[in-house]
Amino acid sequence: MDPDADPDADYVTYVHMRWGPLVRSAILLGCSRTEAEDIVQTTLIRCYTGWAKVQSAAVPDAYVYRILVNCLAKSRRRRWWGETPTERLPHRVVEDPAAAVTQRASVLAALGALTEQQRAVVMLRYYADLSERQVADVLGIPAGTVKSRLARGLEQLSQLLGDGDTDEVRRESSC
Amino acid sequence: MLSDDRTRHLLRSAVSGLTVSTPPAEELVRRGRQSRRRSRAATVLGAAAAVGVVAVGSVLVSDLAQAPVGPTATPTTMPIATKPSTRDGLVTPPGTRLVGMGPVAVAVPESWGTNNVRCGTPLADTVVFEGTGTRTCLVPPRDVSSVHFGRIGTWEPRSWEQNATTTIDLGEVEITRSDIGPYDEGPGEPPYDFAVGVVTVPGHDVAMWVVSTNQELIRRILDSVRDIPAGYVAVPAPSAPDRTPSFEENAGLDVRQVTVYRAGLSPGVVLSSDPPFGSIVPEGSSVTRTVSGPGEPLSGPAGPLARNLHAFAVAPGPETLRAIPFGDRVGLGLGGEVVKMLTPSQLEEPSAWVIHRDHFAGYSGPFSALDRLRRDPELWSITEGKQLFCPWARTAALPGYEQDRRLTLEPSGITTCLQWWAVDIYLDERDRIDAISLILAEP
Repeated sequence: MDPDADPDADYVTYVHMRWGPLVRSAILLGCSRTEAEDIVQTTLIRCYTGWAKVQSAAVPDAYVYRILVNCLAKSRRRRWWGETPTERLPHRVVEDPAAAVTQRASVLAALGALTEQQRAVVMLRYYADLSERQVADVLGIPAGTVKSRLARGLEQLSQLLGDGDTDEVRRESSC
Repeated sequence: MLSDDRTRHLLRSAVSGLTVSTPPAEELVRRGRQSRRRSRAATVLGAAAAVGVVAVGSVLVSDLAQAPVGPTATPTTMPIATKPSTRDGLVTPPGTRLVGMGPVAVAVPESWGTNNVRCGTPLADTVVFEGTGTRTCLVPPRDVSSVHFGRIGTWEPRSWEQNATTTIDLGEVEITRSDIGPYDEGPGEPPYDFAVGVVTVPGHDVAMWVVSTNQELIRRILDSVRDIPAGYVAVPAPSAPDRTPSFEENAGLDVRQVTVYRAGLSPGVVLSSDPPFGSIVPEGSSVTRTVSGPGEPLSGPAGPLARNLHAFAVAPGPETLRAIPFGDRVGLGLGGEVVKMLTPSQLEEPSAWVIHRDHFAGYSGPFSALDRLRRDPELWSITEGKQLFCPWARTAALPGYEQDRRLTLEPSGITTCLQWWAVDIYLDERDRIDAISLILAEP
């Protein structure tokens, strides 16, 4: 082993390679860009302290996504605590995907209409390109549940992004 | 229906044009190193500065202490704290303390006690490490909440098994968390309206469950579950009444063991710990553990006196009575009150011991200390100046006898305070019996 080698070189390389995709993944999970960067920073710091585990994981990306999803879940819980409760759930109206000017806005709005669980499996399967088995491991749910959530999620996305339903799309508060 | 390829394309195109900042690699390395250093430095921090103030990630738990109680209670105000810092990873949750077992901890209101139970039933908000089984030995007050720690499959309520569970990765450890459901100890138990949420740590055989009528409080406590940061440990607690935490469970603590005499208890039972069970302390901290030891003979006349009293209780009569050193007049009491005064000769007759009261401490009369001694003649524990069981039921000394030596006889084979009684014997300066009082524990 080269004693002069930077012990953090692998980590730094990984950060440079995966920063963008991870931030975009968090955005697909419902975060604003600022929130997404915060979450990814937290995720990558945790990866640093357990870097050996990341490197030894069969699929390092899957391991990192697992941390990301957990950080996001924790963040959502924390923020909930910091909010002032109201009598009604704080639904937020999202723009009508059919009327959206750009395809990006339509897709993000349609994703926002999915449940958090559906959105997570769709993102992990089709953006992070994990297998159904890996998605199941990341989320800690059975593979069958991944399949069913994917099916329902895609069905809903099809409806929302197609020419049909243009009803108001609502989603719960983002991360 | 969208195809796989079409879905991939849509998702990628949705975010491909987004501008993302430059990855702060150097900053992440710097903070990652800080995080590691904090873990190491934690081992040399003083316990007072460290207990329960460090967490991996930041969680706002200050409102736990003010969480409303009762199923219909709705939080009307929730402190809006400063935005949690996901950068520092450090937080001091005001009004709460961390308690844990094995590799995980939760935040509970600071005012909560530890093992504040009677007969296994929490009678005030508390953390319970006492593996004494049923929570509903007594009727639990409706507004009392509790967090219980134990081994998987031993004491946690059965009802949680029917609830859906989620697996959560805390980083160093994986846990399962159940949905919140009705609390049920199984068939035959009365229909309580408590709810329960359970967390298990399968890799470490740890179960933690929160019981309350306030589901919001349960959820918040479950939300606060985190792995114990590197460099810290939870002070181990016995997972069963007769089990001493093993050496491995001492988890790098400097354990000092103090042995005290507890009649009726097998040697080796862990009675208490300082800091209390479940406290989160730096590795290497000093912990004083109080453990029951072998019996010690009581000094003075207590041993022979108890033997003679035992002989009289079993076979009352002039012969057996003569062996007992009574004073000129003997006060006969119930609880902390002297009810009547008798001469030694009057005490020869068991009926003279009877105190005719309709009710006392939730029990129906009449009451007789002699009857109690006769009923459990082989099971007494004898102590002086203290009470071994159900200490909350101990009364002040009988008025007028405060200066006497006070011996306490108790049945040592009991399992609940409902079975418990005590007979206090007051000895004057010449070791003669001045007064005798029967004490019962009010359910």
